[in-house]
Amino acid sequence: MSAPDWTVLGTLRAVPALDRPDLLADPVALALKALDPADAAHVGVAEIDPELADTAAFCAAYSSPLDGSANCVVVAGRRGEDTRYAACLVLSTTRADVNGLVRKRLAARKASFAPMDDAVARTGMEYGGLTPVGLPASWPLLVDTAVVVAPAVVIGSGVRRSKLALPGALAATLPGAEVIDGLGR
Amino acid sequence: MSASGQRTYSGRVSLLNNLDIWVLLGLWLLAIPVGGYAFIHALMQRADAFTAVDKLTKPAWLGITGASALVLVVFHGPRSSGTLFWIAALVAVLIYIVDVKPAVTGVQGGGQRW
Repeated sequence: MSAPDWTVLGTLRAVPALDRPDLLADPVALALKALDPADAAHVGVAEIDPELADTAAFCAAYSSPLDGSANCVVVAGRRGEDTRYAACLVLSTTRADVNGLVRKRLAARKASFAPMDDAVARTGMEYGGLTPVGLPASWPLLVDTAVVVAPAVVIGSGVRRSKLALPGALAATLPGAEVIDGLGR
Repeated sequence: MSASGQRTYSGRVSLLNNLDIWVLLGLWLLAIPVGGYAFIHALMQRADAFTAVDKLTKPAWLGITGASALVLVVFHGPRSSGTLFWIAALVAVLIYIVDVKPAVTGVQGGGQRW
C-alpha cells in the first residue's frame, strides 16, 4: 500500500495510531495490534479537544470535510427475550437505515439505538468516541458501501480526546465487517 | 311579553348560530400548546432517529411542526377567515404526535411498548 493519507483530518497532524496507545481506548488498541501490521500502519490518530468530539463541531473546528467522517452507532435488535447488537458505520452525511436493513440483518422484530450507557458499558468506549475498531467479537459490523469507497475516513478512537483516520476499505476488513449497500440514507 | 319572548328566542338562535364558533375556539385554544409541544419534541430528538424509522428527516419535521405552530398562532381565532389554514396545521401536528413521535421515541429505546 502507498503512504498513509490522513489529510481528511483537516488541520490536525496525525501520527501512526500504534505509536500513541495513550490516545486509544483499551479495546481499540488491542484490536489495532491484532491487525496485519501493514494495515495498522494506515491508521492514524490525532489528539483533539474532547469538547469537540461530536462530528459537526469537530469538522467545523478542524476544517475536516463532513463527508470525510463516519459515524458508528450501536443498534439493539430485540426478538422476544433475545437482544442482539450490531454496529453500523455510515458517513456522517447519511443516516443508518435502522428499521429496515439493520433490523432485517439482525432478524429482529424491533430495532432501536442502544441506549448510550448500555453501548458504553458493552464496548468499553467513551460516549461520543464509539468506533468500529475493537467492538465485541460477537457483533456484526455493518459498513455502508459509501464508507468503503472513501479514500479515507475519520472515525472515533474509543475516547473523546482523539480521532482516527483510516482508508475506508480498511473498515471493510475489520473483524465481523459486512458491507451493505444503501445502509446510509 | 312578546318582546321578551322574542328576545329569548333570538338569544337561543344566536347561541346555536354561534355554537360552531365556540367549538372551533375551544379546539384552537387546545391546538396551540399541542403545536408548540410537537415542535419542541421534534427539536429534542436525535436526527438519525427519524431516518431510522423511515420518516421524513428531522429538519423536515421541524419545519412542519414549526410552521404549523406558527400558523396556529397567526391565523387566530374562529372568526378569522384562516380557519382552513389552522385546521390543516392542526392535522399536521396530530400526524406528528400519533405517528412520528411514538416511532422516533421507540427507536431510541425510550418507553417499553408491547
